[in-house]
Amino acid sequence: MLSQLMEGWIDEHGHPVMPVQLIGLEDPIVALIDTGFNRELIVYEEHSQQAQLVIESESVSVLLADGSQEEFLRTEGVIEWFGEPRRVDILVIPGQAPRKGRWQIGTQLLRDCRLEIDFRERSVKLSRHV
Amino acid sequence: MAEFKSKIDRQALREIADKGQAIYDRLVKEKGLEEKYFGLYIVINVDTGEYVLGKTILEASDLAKEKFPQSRRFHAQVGVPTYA
Repeated sequence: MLSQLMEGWIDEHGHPVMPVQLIGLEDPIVALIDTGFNRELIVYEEHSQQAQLVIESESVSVLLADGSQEEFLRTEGVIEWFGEPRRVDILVIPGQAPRKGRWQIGTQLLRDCRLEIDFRERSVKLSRHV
Repeated sequence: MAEFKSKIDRQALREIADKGQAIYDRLVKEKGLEEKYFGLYIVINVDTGEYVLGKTILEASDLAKEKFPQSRRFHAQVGVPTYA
């Protein structure tokens, strides 16, 4: 059995993060690993436009941490995941990406992985066996 | 740098979600959706009420695109709210 590893870090706000390469964008974008988010990936509309993701009339209602509900546009894209292309479910936050805005990686994207967060060492490791 | 212009119609998204949620609630009440299919992913065509179920998000999405392409679609997981 082969073990694969992706690495991230603890950012300046104390959040576990990991770079994600969305196919269609030049550079990876840093994403927050959010175990309170139960789909795959959230990106900003600005990036979805740059990556030329296909936008159809698809909606998902999302419960936010403050108890409010918001509707997100839903689409799909391809990311590089453990060195291979992987088609993923994407929710799109309308508007331009804030300067310090993070994408969010959710638990459905992590479902076949082991996640290790070491806050003391400020390290994040995501591994899977194939 | 070109000025960013949003192409997302939030009002349209809300309308799809409202219609989709109403159909979902009816399926729960009339067809026992959550008892039978808890945890599966559902995609609803909000204009016809047709729906598909899949074990994964992408499986449900593929089935929906096949069964009702070019439609307005509402996505959810049966019995599980989407949290962010």
